[in-house]
Amino acid sequence: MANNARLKEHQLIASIRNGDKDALGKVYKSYRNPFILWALKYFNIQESDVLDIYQDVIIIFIKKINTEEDFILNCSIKTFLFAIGKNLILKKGHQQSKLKLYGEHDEFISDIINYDVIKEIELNEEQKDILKAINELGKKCQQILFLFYYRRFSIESIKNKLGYKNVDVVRTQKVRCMKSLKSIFLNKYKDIID
Amino acid sequence: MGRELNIEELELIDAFLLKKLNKEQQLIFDQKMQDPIFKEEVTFKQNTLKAFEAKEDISLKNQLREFEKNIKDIPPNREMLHTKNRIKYILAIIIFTILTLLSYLIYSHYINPSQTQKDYFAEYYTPYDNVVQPSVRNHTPTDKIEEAFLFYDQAKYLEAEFIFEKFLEGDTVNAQTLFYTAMCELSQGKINEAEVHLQNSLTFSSFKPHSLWYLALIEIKNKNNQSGIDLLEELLKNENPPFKKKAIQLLEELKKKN
Repeated sequence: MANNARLKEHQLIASIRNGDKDALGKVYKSYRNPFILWALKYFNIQESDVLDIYQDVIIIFIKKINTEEDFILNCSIKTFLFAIGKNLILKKGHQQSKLKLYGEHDEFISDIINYDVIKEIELNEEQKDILKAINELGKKCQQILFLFYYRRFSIESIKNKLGYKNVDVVRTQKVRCMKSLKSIFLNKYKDIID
Repeated sequence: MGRELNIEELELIDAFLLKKLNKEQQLIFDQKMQDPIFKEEVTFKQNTLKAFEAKEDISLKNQLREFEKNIKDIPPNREMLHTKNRIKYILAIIIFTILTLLSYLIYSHYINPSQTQKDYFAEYYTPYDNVVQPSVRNHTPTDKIEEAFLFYDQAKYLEAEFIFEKFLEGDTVNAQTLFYTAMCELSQGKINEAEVHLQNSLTFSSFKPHSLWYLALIEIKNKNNQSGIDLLEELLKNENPPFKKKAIQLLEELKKKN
């Protein structure tokens, strides 16, 4: 791929990582039809399933760039998405009908093969209550905990992103937020279950 | 609720969740897991992480649904795939046909422009008969010129040309030597050399009309149709010129083509 195109894709990924919905929408729309046509052409796959598979592919892609801070894409976004797609389709048990074009995506498969096939996250009762408690937390607390535990941001990165004065404030705030979450959970939900 | 965990313990749990424990911290962590309060905090944070994952999943799926709502075209299906393949197939045929035609045009007009004229040359060209020294059967030539014409009659043009050339190098340059040298060359495809000798032979009257005919054929072969026409017209100005019938016929064809 030309360096210029590579650079644009890296910028796009950086924007998605920063929560830019337009950038995500651009990726989603750009590869939607090519992916669906490719999947229908090379796999025995139901037409009604293919859009869901594409959306799963996009979710895996976003999770990968959002949760792995050191993630570097060493191929084009398209190649990466198609590689995830192939992996996902095969794991879901769809028979492959033609092998002709698989080779071009295979070199990236080893990197992704262990990535879990996306499935609905099944929450137990306690986790569901924690989710409710999260939704009742203040936005700032939600953000800090989300960035730290889900996005795996460092305290320094959270300080920069949310504009805190120093890392100690972030550290203290994180502990407070976690306590608040636990408090909502214990007071509002745990007692009811118990 | 029992005792509260201190900041070091909380950070140890965070390091565990983020998979950042070193060996030493792992040992401490394993020991701390014997403490029910510590263990409960670990479980709570693990559940919190799971809840955040679910929350993000829901949020992403909603986001993708929003994108989908804003896309006007329906997702492609197999029918569209076949249509697309058909269009590709038809396009490939059209492109192939255009390229073939273009290649032919480029070849015939630029690379080998004489191709379309070659037919005229092949159709009308025959080496002129030996009218100077007709060969006699079983007769051994007594001189070089007789030998050259013997070769010429046997269609051994290279050998004949070799002897004619010797004459041209000496003092015996005349119309017949020039003309028959040109005939030998034309028969071997040496068009440029033949043209020079025919041009030179025009300075002599004896083979001038004959030379005009062959020069006209050379011009037509070189796709200089107008020059060919001029030469044929010049030839036909002569009274009873050689190749008269052929010249009239060729002239008509060329004029029609022009």
